[in-house]
Amino acid sequence: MMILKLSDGYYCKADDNFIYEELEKRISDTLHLRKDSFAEFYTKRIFQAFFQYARDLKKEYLTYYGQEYDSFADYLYKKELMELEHIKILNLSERQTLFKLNINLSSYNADSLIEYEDNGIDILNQALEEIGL
Amino acid sequence: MKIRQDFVTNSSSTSFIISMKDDLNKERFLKDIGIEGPSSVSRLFEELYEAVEQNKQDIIEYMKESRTSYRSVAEFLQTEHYDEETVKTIEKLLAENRKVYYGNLRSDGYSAAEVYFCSESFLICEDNLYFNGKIGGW
Repeated sequence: MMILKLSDGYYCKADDNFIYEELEKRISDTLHLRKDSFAEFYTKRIFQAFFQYARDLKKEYLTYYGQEYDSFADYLYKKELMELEHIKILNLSERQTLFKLNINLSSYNADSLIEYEDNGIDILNQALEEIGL
Repeated sequence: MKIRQDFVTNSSSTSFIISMKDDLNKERFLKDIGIEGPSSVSRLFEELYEAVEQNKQDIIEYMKESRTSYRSVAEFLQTEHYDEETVKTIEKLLAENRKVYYGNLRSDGYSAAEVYFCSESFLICEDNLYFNGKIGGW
């Protein structure tokens, strides 16, 4: 599972059975954060900001556009207007989906964590790796 | 080096008050805010600590150096729009001879964590750590 910045926005590559609630459940134990602490509260708040209004593009494709487009990659290119180069970089497998993150819809400032510093996105990706979904 | 890639607006700063039962240091701060072991997100909270460390000043010294002369800590805090509960808490901490620090987090600060927490509103009021960023909510 990984967050990426692709020209026009932020995306997250994940297994297609990913459930955000499961990520939240694992945060305290896997990241060694005391329950109900400041650190736990803010770690959850940050991930919530990233995923609260995220669109599961694979789910949308399968639900509404499966017959209209030849493949998920075709859908990403023609409907979501993603660059072919980016679709190639994503290298999505059959069992993976792509979330389009809408960080600014849920948080005034969470994007500053990844836009203000080069390593911000690495911190979150390392956390996602430790959470192991 | 950090380079802002989007447009730059006027910077803002928001105040915080912090006091620890023992001397303020990073390890204790991280433990008191809930980091209990190696954690990838600890870097974020380390950056918050570093911003606090860089921008804090003993509240009494801060008042003395201010252009306005304040008769008491209460008067200073009221001027800064802190509520009565906060004023009482700070007076109590000072009466217990605890060091109380005052400072500002800036929206054009040195780290992403400083920028992020600058616009958050938070309060930790525990035996070991008092950390008030309530005025920070934009």
